[in-house]
Amino acid sequence: MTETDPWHAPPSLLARFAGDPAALDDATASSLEGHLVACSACRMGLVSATAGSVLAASWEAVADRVDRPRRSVVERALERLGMRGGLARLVGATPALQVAGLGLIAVMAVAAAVVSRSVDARGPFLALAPLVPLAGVAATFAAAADPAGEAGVATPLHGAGLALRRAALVVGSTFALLGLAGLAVPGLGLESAAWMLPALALALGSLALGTWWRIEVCGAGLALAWVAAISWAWVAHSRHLDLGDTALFGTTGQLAALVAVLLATAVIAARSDRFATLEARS
Amino acid sequence: MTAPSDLLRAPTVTVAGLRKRFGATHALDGVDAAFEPGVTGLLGPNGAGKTTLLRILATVLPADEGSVGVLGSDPSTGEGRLAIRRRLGYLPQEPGFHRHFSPFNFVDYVAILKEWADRRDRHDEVRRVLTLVDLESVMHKRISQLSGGMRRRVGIAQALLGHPDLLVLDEPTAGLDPEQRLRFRELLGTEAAGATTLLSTHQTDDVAALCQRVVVLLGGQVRFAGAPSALAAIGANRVWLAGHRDPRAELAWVTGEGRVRHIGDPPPGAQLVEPTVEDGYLLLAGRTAGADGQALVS
Repeated sequence: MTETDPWHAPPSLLARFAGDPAALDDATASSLEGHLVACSACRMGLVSATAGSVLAASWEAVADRVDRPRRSVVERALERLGMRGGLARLVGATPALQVAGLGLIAVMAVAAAVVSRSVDARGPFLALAPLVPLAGVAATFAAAADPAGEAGVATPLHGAGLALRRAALVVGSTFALLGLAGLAVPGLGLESAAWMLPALALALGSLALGTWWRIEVCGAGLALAWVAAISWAWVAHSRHLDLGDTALFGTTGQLAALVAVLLATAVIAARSDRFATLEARS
Repeated sequence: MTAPSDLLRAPTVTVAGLRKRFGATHALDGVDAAFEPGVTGLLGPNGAGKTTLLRILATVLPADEGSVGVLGSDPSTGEGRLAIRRRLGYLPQEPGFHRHFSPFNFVDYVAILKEWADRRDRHDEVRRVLTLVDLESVMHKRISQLSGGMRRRVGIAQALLGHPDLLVLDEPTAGLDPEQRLRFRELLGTEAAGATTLLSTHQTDDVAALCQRVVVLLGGQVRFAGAPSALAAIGANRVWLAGHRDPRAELAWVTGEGRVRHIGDPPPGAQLVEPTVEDGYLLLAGRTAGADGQALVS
């Protein structure tokens, strides 16, 4: 084609070419490229079409940048750990995983360690530590804590998958904070980790019972049961504060906690459908 | 051979023998109903079972008994529930907003839950639905700082994400001012064209203006299903105006013009007037309260 060629590329074709050349089929793209080499009018047309699409794309990028929700510390951390942006946002919005929630968990963990240190015995830490993940799980799954409320329940991603990811992160975070706080507990050793299985049993137990009843109520019930067990162990141990030596944290207690963990896991698996609706909350 | 117009009228949502109990309360007591594309209004007093029915259709509550079919899927199975949720927009009676969320954050969060993985596309869609409900100027304010009507519109916006095939809206016009209610009607006309829309309301004028069909629930049972004009027709020859209250009327109230509007059995020579959907509904509710319990289907 030459400058005297009467044919010119229609503006719509130039706009499509400017927007995304790959969107045109090979023959059309190749023919248009050849024509553009020879036709200055169409080259000018392409410049304006490109300016329009670039401007629109730039504007969209600016609007997107301005509107993009600010990511929380937890969300950024989860993304760095490889979790996809959307999922990190869903999980990061969990109240117990936000700065205030994590702060509260850290305070509880440190308080447990400080009490133990002040009486120079592991007992108080072992007794209080299992309650921290339990509180985190109950706070995460309380009806009022759901970031999207009932509107979020009627969505494809709502269900056991999301619930268990949240639970895993809450339990993981509380365990990490308790692990750090536990370094301050006197008599550091394997016995200092005796809180872990009971803590896991209580956290998973509240989730399992939460498939029948409101999780806040289940959490409170399990906390009371744990306090009763601790009181019994304390009395049976001649009111000695080093509860690490009692059956509750010994082999018997650990085995019982393991059984409870397995039982709770089985219940959660069998009743995972309950996480998909409001049934247990109503 | 089925005509295209018949296909459009085929029910997309069906329930049969539906029952739901909360403790000793029968929220739904054997509901049978079919909903077609278009807008269907659910009318009924508080506690009639409207919200429970909508929650079951929106897959957030399971039924105790009965069968439910929504867009060709069964919400009692995991697969069916997922298939329905992918085509559903749901506005609950009380959405429950995270106190730190802005309208943009909230709708964006729901969009992620609705599997909008591409951030740019998702944000475009969030802006689109927030603009539809006139919230673009406040989309970055905290929801806790917005008025009740604005919060309602945030809820409506999230329900409109992705042009759903089924819209389940529980009292969408509660808290909206008259102008916003008109805007909502207009919005539904454009955004829900071709979709099946079920909305519960206490506003009978919304039903008259918006709905092709109306279902009246009373005591957990369907007492009427038909066109709004058929519901209004229940009041034919049973609504009259007079200068003074007539004690024989079932209900009577003073109108803006200072006359008394009565519904019930009119006295001879009464000045009968054209009944409204509200008149028909009030008569139906009054009649059903002490009658045979037979549903009226037209």
